[in-house]
Amino acid sequence: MARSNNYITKKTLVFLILIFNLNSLLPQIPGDFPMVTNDDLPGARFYQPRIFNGTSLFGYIDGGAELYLEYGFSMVTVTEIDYMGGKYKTEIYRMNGPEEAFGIFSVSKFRCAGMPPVSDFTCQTKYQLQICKGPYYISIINRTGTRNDSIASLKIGEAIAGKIKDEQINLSFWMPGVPISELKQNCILARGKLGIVNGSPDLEDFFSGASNFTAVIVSGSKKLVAIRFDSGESLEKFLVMHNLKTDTPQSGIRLKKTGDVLLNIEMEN
Amino acid sequence: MKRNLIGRRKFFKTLGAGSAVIAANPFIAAAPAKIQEQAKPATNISETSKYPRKPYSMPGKYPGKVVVVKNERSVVDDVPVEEVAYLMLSRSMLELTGQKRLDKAWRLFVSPGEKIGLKVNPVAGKLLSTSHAVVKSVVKQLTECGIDRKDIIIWDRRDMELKDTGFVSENYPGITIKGTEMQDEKGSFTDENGILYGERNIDREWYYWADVDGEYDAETMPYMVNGGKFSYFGRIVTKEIDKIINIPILKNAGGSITNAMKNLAFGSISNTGRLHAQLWNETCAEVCAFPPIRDKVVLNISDGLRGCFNGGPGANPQFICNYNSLLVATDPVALDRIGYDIIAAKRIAEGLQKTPVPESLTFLKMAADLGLGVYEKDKIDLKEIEMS
Repeated sequence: MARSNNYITKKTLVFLILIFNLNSLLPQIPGDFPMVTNDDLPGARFYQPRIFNGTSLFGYIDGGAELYLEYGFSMVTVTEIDYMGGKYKTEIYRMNGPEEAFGIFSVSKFRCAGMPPVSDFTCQTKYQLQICKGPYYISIINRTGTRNDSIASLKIGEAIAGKIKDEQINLSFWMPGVPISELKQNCILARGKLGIVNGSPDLEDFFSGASNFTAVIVSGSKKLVAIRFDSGESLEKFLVMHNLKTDTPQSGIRLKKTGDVLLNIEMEN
Repeated sequence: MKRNLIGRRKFFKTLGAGSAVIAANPFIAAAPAKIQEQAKPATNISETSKYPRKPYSMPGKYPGKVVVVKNERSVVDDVPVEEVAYLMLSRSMLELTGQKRLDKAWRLFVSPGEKIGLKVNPVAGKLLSTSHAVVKSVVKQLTECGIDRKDIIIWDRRDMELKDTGFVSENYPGITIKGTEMQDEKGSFTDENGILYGERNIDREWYYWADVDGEYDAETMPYMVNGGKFSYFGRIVTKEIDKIINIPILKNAGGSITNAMKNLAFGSISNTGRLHAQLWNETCAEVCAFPPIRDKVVLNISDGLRGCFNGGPGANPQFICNYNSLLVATDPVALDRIGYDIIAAKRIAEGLQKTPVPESLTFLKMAADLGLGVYEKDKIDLKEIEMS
């Protein structure tokens, strides 16, 4: 009996080392990456994460990788977690910065059932909790869509978000004067053609032919569009393409150029 | 030039075209500026004309004919129901072929002794893979018409994704399940000599060449098998199967769709990462014009029980929906044309777009020009059946 107990103890120890000591098993995950462990979620079982860096994202989501790469992608960890009686898939995407992370978050969310205060940018739906914090976009997917799943997802999300200390995107820089509550609900950040196609397809043709831009779009009673180009030349090309003039009042549209590369447009809906 | 002019018009429609505000808008009052289109990289598509077509080469026995069977009971609690899928498939096959007996309908496409490849799509994982309800129904009907289970191969590019999504021998006893890109039991992509297993599984005699270089780091290479300007067809397609039954899942992909054509094209060749950005339309159409695909695909069965209307080809749960539909055709171009309408209607209903976008159909127009099927909606013989 004593031997059996010893055996179980050793076996359990090996299991615990194998399953929970993620950092020792997976040195390719940077130390500052917000991985959660049993210390953060007692009783959880973590399966070995899969890691995809740079263009190896094609190996995870194939053509879907293009969107992330267009925004600026660094790495993702994909981990299955058994917790509170349910099964969850967490994806933690580290993008190149807070802007890129918010961009992916903004074009991936849809009709949030709730926006729990896990972070400034959180969207909960029946089967998914999405969080943007600092340079990270986090997706937690459950299988059954129950209340228990929602609660467990929130606990996992809080544990991950709690480890992120990076600064958030400053949307007020893009949209000065627009209430932050409106920005949180109705704002998308699109980068490149795929960003527009996924986030604001009604503007696809407007941006057709434009390149090297990042656009923040707020759809309310009016459509507010702030576009940052990579150069003054790209901005001027865009203005010429649409025959827009920054110094002449134009009906139905207000235009303001800030510095060399930023254009703010207000359109009637 | 024309493309951009139309595009700008459409943009103003979305802002409420017709109103006085927009009518006076300087955007449209002014002459449109010229936007230079990027020249497309060359490909080896012209080589396909060297290979004579066979009697049943794509678009197959029934060009332009598409059967769509709907059944609201096909998905219960977001899980596809195999028994209902079986009935939908039976009805589709009889309608497509005009046969009265199901085994006779199937025997128009397959014969005992032939190796039959079922090309599924597991790329988006468990949430949005070709459903087991549909694949098991296909397997069952194949065996009922006399095909031996040992002659059926379920395949895709990535062996690991097949496993992840439940395409394993426990679920499909007696059936071969394999992918081109693979890992061993230890998780390694390479053998004892450091050679990618995927290299054994490509056929260097058959390739899609395009003047775009695939340059990958060491971590990406296992998913691409090779870099450079050549994308090789998998040996599964060129050597191991006689017929292909294509079983995609109905999804959007960016501004277009991923269904029959994309499942075949991107699922059959290596070194695809280089093709997404510049040659997505060309790849979807042109790869299917090469004999290993063109002359082997006998049926396309699109799993539209569940699907997605945005965020594809990945799986974002909030964009996954129940289309409750099965689409069946020998002609993948016509099938995708109808599939596009289903997705576009859903996107419009969900407020994601206001009208269908003709540019989304570019790859189908290209495929039609290559003689792979019927693209014009008014030339498609669409049979819609409501079972529930």
